[in-house]
Amino acid sequence: MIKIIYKLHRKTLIAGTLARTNGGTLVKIREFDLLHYMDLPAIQHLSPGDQQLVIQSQQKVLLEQDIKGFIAIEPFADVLEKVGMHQEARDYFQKIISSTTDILTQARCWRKIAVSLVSQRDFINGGIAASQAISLFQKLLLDNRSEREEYVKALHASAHSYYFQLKFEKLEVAAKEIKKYLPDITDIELRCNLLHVISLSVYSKYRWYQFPEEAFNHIELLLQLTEKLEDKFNHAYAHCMMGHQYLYNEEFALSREHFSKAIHLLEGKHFGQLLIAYNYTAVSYRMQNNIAMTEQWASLTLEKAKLTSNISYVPYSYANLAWVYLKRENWLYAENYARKAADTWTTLSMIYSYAFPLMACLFRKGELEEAGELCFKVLHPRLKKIPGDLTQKLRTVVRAWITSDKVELRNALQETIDEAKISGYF
Amino acid sequence: MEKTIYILHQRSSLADLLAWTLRLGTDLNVTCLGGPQELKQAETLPDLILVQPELYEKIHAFMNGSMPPILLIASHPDDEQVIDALYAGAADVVDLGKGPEELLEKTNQILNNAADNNALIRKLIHKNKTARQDEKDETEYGLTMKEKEVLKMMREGSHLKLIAQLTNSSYETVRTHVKHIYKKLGVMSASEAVIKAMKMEL
Repeated sequence: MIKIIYKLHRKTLIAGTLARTNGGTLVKIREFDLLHYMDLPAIQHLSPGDQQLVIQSQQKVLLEQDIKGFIAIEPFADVLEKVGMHQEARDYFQKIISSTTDILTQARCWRKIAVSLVSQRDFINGGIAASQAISLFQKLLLDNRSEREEYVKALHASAHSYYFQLKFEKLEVAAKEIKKYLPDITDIELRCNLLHVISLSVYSKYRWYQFPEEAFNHIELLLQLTEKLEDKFNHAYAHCMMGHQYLYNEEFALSREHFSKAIHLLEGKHFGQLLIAYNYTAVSYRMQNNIAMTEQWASLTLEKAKLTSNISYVPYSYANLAWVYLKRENWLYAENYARKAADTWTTLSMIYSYAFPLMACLFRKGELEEAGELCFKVLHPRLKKIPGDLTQKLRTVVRAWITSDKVELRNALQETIDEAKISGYF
Repeated sequence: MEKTIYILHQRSSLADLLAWTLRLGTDLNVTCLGGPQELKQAETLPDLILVQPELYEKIHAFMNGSMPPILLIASHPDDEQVIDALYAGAADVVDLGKGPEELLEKTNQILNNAADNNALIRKLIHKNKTARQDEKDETEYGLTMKEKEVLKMMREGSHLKLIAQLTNSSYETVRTHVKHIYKKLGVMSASEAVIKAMKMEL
């Protein structure tokens, strides 16, 4: 098949020119000044090893005189993404997209932009970029393995963005599409990533509460597959997922066992996953009413999350610390932490984590109106499901709050807070 | 295609909460309006307007006939105002006391043209009628026709023997009626029963 790609001429691409690459494909070019493209991004803040990687990759682009120079820009952008220069990487991918008419290249670059955005937890724009990639892939025949692999990678990025935006229907569609292509995927790492998406769709289906046997079997398979991989990151991630499932089935010891295995495998690297293990270990202790251990793990999570500017686990740690201070009846600190958590919260599905401590502080101060509003929020059907008895009590609060029945609101709130304490969801 | 929703509620914090509820996990474009006059300034009509029943008539006046579906957001869904608005053309009513689920469910139903508002209106009217009947029954203390007739005569000053003659009943039967009346009205004497009869406008 002939594909239209690009040609470089004295480091300037000439619009409309066709050239044949080594692989026998044809390149069509637009006006394109390579030197302008290759302005050096600031790399002084990178480690020496990473600086070396960037320089080598950049030289590769500049040394190539022909189409190879253009083609080398994409691996260069990949390197930037790998060393954490996400915005710069995305700028290069954008430039490639606007300089080519090759649908596969455009789709692949959109997919890489989506992955980059999702890794920075910009799920809205990540989802938009992933949709762009998917719509371009759907114009292709997808008649060879590499195209299909690229397509499922785009589906993977889109599924992630939908999961964190709580767009369950779209996540389900992506998971179904992935299942269609799964038998064709031989690369174990990619296969694991895809199985991960299927897990996300199970999480959303059960709303992070009391998972069935099939969910555990699925992660067991993921654990077996990832064990074979050289890079232990995926295996550690699978342990995190298993820990998560046990946590939401209220099997706390088993849950912590998996988180500690993940921490051991990650060896202090991959902070994103490390923070998942730290944070949910704190949550497991919190659900068991263990104040000292919750404080220890929440503080550790907070310290690391601040170091890495992690926008999810900084507020989550605040919520856990709010609970700790509440248990110690330090109401001032408890409210301060709960409010800080509420103001910066990003883990949408887990709002209850800061809502109950904040509700207790508001109840004590007699600010029942805001407490009623929180109860309404916690009942949202896209958020984590909570036990039936607690849900019933929350409904009573909402009824009293909406009808402005102050006496009933006070009584119902008291009962809700008591029930939350018993259930472990306080 | 992205659907647009406007929310109109005098409690702005509640309007914001409802907007948050609708936006979460959806592609809905939700805007909270400051008042019905802002509808006039809107360039295009939304796909749905959520409004508290008290503002329904004002919206009607501002919209000049071209109305998108209107979903009433009520704290007391059985209020007459709600029923009037449903009669006047509102698509459905959400009982906010039931939490966010009902709001999401009914919004989706209307946006997907699946609202069963006829059934709802029938239900509300029936409920309203039943409530009124109950109210009436309560003011008449569940007296039978015969007992009401006896009580009316007592109010007119007739003694029990005369009542027995006038109603073609035995004295003992009238006494039984009177006992039942006392019991139902929760009174101990004829004078108390007569006062209650006056209140009932017998």
